[in-house]
Amino acid sequence: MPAMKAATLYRLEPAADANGEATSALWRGTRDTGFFIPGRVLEAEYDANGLALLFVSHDIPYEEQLEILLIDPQGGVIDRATLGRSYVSGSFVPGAIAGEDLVSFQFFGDGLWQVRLRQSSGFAWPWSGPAGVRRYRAYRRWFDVNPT
Amino acid sequence: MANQDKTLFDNAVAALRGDVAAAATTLTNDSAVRQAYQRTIEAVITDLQNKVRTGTLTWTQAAEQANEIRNVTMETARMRSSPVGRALAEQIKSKGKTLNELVAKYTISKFGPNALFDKLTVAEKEIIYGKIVAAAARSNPRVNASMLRWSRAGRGLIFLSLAVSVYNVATAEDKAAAAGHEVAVTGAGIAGGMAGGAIVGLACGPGAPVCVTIGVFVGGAAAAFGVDFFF
Repeated sequence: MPAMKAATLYRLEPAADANGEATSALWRGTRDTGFFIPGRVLEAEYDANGLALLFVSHDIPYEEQLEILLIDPQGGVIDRATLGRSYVSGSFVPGAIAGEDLVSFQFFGDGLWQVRLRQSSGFAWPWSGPAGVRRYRAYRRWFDVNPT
Repeated sequence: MANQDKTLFDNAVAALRGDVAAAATTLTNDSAVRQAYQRTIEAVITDLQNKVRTGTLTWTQAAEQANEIRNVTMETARMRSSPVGRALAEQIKSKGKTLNELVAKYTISKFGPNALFDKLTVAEKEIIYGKIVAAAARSNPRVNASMLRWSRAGRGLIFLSLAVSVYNVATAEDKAAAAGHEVAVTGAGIAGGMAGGAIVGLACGPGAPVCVTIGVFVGGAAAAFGVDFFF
C-alpha cells in the first residue's frame, strides 16, 4: 500500500510549448531531471513510496486545466489525468490526505474530488471515468480520479 | 417489390445524409464559435492594455473590466455553441477565480508565498493587475486545437454531403427537381438535428451531452427521412 505524504521535492521551470500546450522542465531540488511535463504551476505535491504525485495547472485562470501526474524519478511520467473542458474553469484547492493511498482536492464546482493510488498498475477500460477527465493510457492505470 | 426495396433504401440513405448534415453543422458551428471567442478575448484584452498605456484606464480598472468581460464572453460562447457543445460545457460546474483570488494568486507567484498585496508598492500592484489582464487573453490551447480538428472534420462532412448532392443532380433526368430535393433533404437534416438536440436537451435537462447527441442524430435523420418520403 503506498504511504502518501505531502512533499516539496520538485519545482518547475518554464519550457517551450509542445503542441500548443504549456510544458515545464521538472527539477528535483537543484537537479534537472531531464523530464518535461505538461503545465506551468506546481499546485501540490505528494510522495508515495518514492513516486511523486503532482498537481499542475496551466495558468489559464478563465479556462483552467489541471494535470494530475504520477512521476517515477527514474522513468518520468507513468500516468496522467487531465481535468478540463471548453468554456469551463476550475480552481485548484488542495485537500486532505484521506488514507495511505488517497488524497482529496477541489477543482470543478464546490465538490471534492479524490485521487486513489493503486497498489500496482491495473486494467481500466478506455474512456472510462468521470466527465471532464481525460486519461492517456487506454487500458492501464496507476491511479483513479473521481468526484466524491 | 424491387421498387419498394428501392424506396426503403432511398429513405435510409436520406436519413443517413440528414445525420451527416446535422453532424457537419454541429462541428463547423462550434469551431466557428471557438475561433470568434479566441479573436474576441484577444482583441478586447489588447484594447484594454492599449488604453492603460495611453492613460485612459488604470491597471486596476483594466483588470476589473477584463475579469467582467472574460466571464461574459465565456457565457456568450457557451450560449452560441450547438446543443451538443452547450451540453458538454454545462455538464461540469465551472469554478472560475474571482478578481481577489487572482490578485492573491499572482501576488504569491510573483513576490513569494509570504507576500501580501496590501503591502506592495503601487508599481508592484500594477504588475499584478497587468498579469491578470494578460491572463484574461489566454484560452485553453488544447481546446483550441481540438476545435480546429473538429472544424476540419466538419468541412470534410460538408464536402461529402455536397459531393453526393452534385452526383445525384448530375445523374438525374429532371435536374431542377433533383436540386430542389437535395436542398430540402440537407436543409431538413440540419434543421432537424438542431431542433432535435434542443428539444431533447430540454427533456434531459442541462449538461446531458449523450442525450443531446442522440437527439441531434434522431432529429436530423427523422427530418431528412420525412422530407424525402413526402417530396
